[in-house]
Amino acid sequence: MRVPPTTAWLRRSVALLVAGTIVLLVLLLVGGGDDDPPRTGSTLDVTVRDPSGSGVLRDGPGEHLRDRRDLLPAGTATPSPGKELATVAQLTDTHVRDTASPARIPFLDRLGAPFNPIFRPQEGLTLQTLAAATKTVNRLDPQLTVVTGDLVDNDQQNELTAAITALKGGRVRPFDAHALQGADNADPFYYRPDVDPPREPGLLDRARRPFTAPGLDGPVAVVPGNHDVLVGGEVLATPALRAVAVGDRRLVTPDPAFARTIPRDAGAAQQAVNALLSAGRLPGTTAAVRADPTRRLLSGPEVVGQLAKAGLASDRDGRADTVRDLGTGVRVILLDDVPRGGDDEGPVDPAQQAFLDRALTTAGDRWVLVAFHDPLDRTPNGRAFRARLARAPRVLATIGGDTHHDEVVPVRTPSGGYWSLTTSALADWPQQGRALRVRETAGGGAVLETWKLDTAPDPLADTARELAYLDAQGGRPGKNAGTAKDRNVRLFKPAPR
Amino acid sequence: MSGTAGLGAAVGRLFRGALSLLRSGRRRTVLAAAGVLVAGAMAGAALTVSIGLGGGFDRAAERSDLPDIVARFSGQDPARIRARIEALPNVADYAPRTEISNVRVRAADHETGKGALQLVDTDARRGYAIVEGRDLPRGGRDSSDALVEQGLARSWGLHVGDTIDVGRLGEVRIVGISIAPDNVAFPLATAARVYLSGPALEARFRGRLRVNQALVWTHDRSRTDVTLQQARATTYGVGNLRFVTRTGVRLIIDQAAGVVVALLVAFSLVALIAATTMLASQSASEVARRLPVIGVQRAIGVPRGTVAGEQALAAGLIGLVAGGLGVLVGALVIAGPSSDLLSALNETPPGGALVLPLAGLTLLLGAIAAAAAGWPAWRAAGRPPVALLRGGTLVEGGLRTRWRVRRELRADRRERPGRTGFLGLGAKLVLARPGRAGATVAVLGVSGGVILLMLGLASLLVALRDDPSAVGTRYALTVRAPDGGVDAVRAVPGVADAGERYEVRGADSFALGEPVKITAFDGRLDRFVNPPLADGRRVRGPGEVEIGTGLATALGLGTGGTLAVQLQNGGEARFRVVGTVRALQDDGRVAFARPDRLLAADPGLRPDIAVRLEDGTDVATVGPRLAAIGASPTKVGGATTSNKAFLDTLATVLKAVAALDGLVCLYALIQALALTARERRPTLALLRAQGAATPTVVRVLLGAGLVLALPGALVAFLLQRLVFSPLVSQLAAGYADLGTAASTGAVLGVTGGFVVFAVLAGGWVARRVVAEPPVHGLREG
Repeated sequence: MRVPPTTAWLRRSVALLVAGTIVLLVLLLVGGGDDDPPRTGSTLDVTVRDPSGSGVLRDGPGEHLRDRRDLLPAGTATPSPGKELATVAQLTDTHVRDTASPARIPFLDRLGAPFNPIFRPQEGLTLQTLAAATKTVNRLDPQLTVVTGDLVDNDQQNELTAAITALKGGRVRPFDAHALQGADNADPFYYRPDVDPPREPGLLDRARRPFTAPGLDGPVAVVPGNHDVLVGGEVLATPALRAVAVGDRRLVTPDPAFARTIPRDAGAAQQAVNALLSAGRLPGTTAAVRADPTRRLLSGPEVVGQLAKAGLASDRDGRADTVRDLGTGVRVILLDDVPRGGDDEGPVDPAQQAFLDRALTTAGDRWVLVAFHDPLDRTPNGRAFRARLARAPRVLATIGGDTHHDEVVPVRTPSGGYWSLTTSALADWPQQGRALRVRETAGGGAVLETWKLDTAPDPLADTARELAYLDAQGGRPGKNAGTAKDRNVRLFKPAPR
Repeated sequence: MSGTAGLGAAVGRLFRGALSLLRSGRRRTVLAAAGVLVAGAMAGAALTVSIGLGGGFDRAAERSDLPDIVARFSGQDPARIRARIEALPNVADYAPRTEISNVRVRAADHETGKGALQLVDTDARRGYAIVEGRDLPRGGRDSSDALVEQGLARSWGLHVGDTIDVGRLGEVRIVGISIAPDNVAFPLATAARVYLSGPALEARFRGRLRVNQALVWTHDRSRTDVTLQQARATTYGVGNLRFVTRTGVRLIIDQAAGVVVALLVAFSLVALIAATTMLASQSASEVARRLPVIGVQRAIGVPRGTVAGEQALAAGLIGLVAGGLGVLVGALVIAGPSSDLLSALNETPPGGALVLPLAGLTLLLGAIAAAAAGWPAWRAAGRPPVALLRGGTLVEGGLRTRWRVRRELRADRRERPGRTGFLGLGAKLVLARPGRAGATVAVLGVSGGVILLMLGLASLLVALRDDPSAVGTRYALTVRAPDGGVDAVRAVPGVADAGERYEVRGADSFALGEPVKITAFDGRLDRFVNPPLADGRRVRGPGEVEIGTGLATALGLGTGGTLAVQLQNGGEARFRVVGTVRALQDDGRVAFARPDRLLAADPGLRPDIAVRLEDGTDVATVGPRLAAIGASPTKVGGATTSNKAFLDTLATVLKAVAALDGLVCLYALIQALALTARERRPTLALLRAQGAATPTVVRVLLGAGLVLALPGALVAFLLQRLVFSPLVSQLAAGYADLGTAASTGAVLGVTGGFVVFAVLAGGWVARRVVAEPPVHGLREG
């Protein structure tokens, strides 16, 4: 039967209307979250914020790149970023932690000043945080990922093995945090997620479940930090201390008499504790712990050797100094600058200085990024490095760790200056890595675009970040995230003189 | 004519009809209005008490910007404390404060050595409200400016502009009166608080104050526990640290009067229900009285709806006008004492916030009166007019009606003194209308029940104030250990037992905003405490604890759970809950255990000695004996304050409500007797025509009154015992056993009061009866 034209038109209109409504509904449903773009890890798009100040983190707007022209001559126009030369990612101070280790000293926290607190409410989740950070880095797809030290917390074999697995990919067996943070620990100085606010029932059980880490897809270069080669980042492993580390007793509460003997001066207090640890004494109440030979304390060369064996570092006579060229435009020099004896006032290492000289002089027209752990002004060796960098016109930036703070400052030198970057720790708020992209600019200069990388969405890593944010002894009150000028910035460098 | 206009005209007719109903019996209308007024007054008073006391703390907390956390600690460098607090999550604001205790404060005729100087950082938030005068200015440099707390100002008669002497500081000038509900007011609290500018004092004495208090405001109050958890983890080096949250502050105030306030609020709610019930009953009786009018209306063809509407409207108008007036009167009567009570607790009266609820109550009274009159009128108008004109009741026809009519006829035939004399005659006259008599008995019962409840409360308050055993405490005294220790105390004549007692105030370690008081004794706990066991069993060994039901409810903790107590030294003591007990003190947030775990967590704890006296031994006798061996005794109190002024204020509140309630009873009796006298006008006229003098008429009406009053007393007793008392106990303190049941003496007192009311009502109505010539009544017959 033939349908009259009017009826057909009506039917078509109704059909179009229905179809349109369905499409609209689908768009509304699918696009309902347009206000909250999905987290890619890049803080240029979206990042976590505490909008109400109540300690509850939510996804919020990202931070755009801010131009920093500090090194450009006055009066010159801001050059437009040109060709991309290389992209590098930085992860630092992950502090993968065997929380129940007898060789740790969290009990000193309660003595207050001069000791910096070392317990962190999120410390049972360091491996999950590292794994979530690697996911974000993989999404960035850099030509090189540098890990600028303190990969582990306490210079232990089991920590290093787990951290290497997390970086390389594979089955990771996290550490059990029940000893300090279990609900049955009647010591309220430690956050016990099953009972203390914010309550996270079952968190410790979930945290100790083995998981498969994706590992970093691209090339990786690790330089050790002080926590990788020294016990607690301070003390050279002695035979007595090695015995404590693999032993079956853990100090729970320091003897009040011992506490009273500790000097209040920071340096003297640290020396007193170092002496105590070196002697392997446990002054106070102890608790039984399962003796674990994998808690073996490592020497610096052992750490570098194992990293090199895993393909994560070079081994230059027990040091992880290395050079990585990223195409023809960028050279990354990694300096293993941590004193091995725990003494910051050690002598200058001529071999390392010569290595840096060679690396700088052979860079050619490449822009140079120099990565290390300890700040260069801390040791005589570091200060000697700094003097050499000051004379190198193509050094674009130094990339450091250790401070757990985001900071970007210009270093003005006769050869045109460079940028000094330190990056916050994955172990503390804001638990971010850093992306670095080198671009040419017109006239022979360069610009380093850098932005922070949040960890990829992951229930345990997200919980770790929330706890890190709440931590009254951690990165939030410490202002570790710096200011906007220390995070997502475009750092201009003029053409070499 | 449009529908709207028609409706308007119908409403207008209804309104005119209702007004004419009210006008037709002006005296009756006035009497009805008086009843509604009294019921309204009671309801108004009850609502004022309920809102005033129930929300006092929250209002004061908002008004004075009460901090979410108050941390107290031994003196610290302000910069150190600031750094610690600013590091905490969820902190919106912070104010340091220095409290100096036990300062001599003097003004004209008053003096105390318990002055508490609050040295305020004038550049920070204050945490108090100014109720008179002005605040200490920001950055204030005048060290002679002072604020005094309202309680101190009221108690000592201080005003803005007066001067007081403050310790070594000398004379300071009062520039403002303040209020802060972080404690009860002076003199209920022993400390007299005076606020001074910290910066001004620093400048004057060229020194730097050490702070010992931190007032903290959070962004999100519901996450205060997260803030406290972090605070706990960073408390190293800060001695004697105590955190008090808003919950804790409320508990401090409740220690003085929490149970009392809760009882009063619960009592008010019961009184409110009673008042509305009485109003409804009274409106229904008004319709019963107007049955002949309804019969006439129906006989001349007035529609049933119009009849019912007029009755409802008439009652509603009385309910609105007289009820509204009553509500206002009740609110005004109770506002003064209620306000005094709130001031004693450092709380603020509701002020304008009361207007809306009182207006709502007035509307409710109008609606109840209208409904209570309209529904029976509708039912009555459905009956044949003849039945109504012959003196029908609200009960539909049928067997019951026939039985009633027969009984009335019999009563009419026997309306002469029988074996029971004229008293019996009066009883028969009243009982001839069993529905109305029942309603009156119900009104009397409800009112009397409320009065009995009040008397029960009064006895309970005395017990809570004076008698530790009322809260399950078996020891009457505590002493500091003398040289000979516990044995020396035990040897004192009159002492039945003595033992070391540790009393620790802390917080639940897993919910740091929840305060806990834990009391520990060596050995068997029931030697010294025996609150009723609600669940589980008694403590038998170390590591076990009995917890109050209040604490169990607050923490969601039950038998078999773990109680972790955060102590002031930073340690944590854990116990396994073996039982819950119905403890009254501290809102039931108490726990009883042996001291082992407490001492393990805080070896520095020091005990006192709990002293149980032999039966019949007076504290006053044993006290001096204990003092003689160097054990200065402290009397153990109950669960409320013993402050006389405060208790006097409480008594005033109770008396005001009692007076209104008494008026309700008297009114109900007068109304019932007047109605009976009106209906039995011919009988009473005949009696008088036969030579009966005024005393005879009084006896008849007294008999009528007694037959209502005595069952009313019985109903009052039953209601109070079976309904009101359990209800108030549950509303006020569901976590404990409150003995609010009235004593036998109180029951007899109320019964006696009802008899007196019957005499008064009989006399008053008799006077009106004899004022009328008997012939008028005979003509009607």
